[in-house]
Amino acid sequence: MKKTLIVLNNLITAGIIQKYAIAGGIASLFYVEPVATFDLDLFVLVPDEESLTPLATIYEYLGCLGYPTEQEHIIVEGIPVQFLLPYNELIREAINSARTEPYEDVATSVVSVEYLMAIMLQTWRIKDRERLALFVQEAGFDKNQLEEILARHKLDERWKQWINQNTSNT
Amino acid sequence: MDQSKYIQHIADQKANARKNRASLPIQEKLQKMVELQKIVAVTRAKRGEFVRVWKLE
Repeated sequence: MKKTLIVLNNLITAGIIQKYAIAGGIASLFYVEPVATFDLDLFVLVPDEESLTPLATIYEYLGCLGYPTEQEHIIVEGIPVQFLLPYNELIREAINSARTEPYEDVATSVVSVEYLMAIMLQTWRIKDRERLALFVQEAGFDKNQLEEILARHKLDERWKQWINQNTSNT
Repeated sequence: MDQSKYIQHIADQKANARKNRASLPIQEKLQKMVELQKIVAVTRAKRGEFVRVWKLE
């Protein structure tokens, strides 16, 4: 993992990406108990988002370093990494407001707990709703900040719906 | 202890265990996550699906 993070940080140094933020199951690890996940989801800001193939430079750069691709992943130091562009404003904000977290002696960037919860509400898959329950019970989050994000992205009604459905279980 | 108190007691114990696991250092959590991957990998292998189990250096 440490080697993977060093490679990801080098992508910024080399100017291949501007910023990244770990998301998905691995980001959850920073806030709640471990859950099984098989890839490292990485939101990235790239210099030329308007390009027809905005992720091509990442694939070329890592390919030159000998990292193979496997379906939608690039295997970086044994870990499948999926690079994802910001597909809406919520994701873009999540990247820009990501927290710096240490992993051993390497600094990495992780989506904040409030944005992770907002993304779960937006994606709204079964596993997101289940994970949201874990977050409500275990993760220390700023309720005001979460509700401000949710209101801004019109997710507040869904949050109320989730609360109503889960109040008796939390 | 009546049944409802016992059920609540078990629920509290489970919640505390989850909170303890949630407060582990990230490296330890990753190791536990890989253990979970191994369990899931065995289940999926029985269905003929391949998943990559991480090797943490």
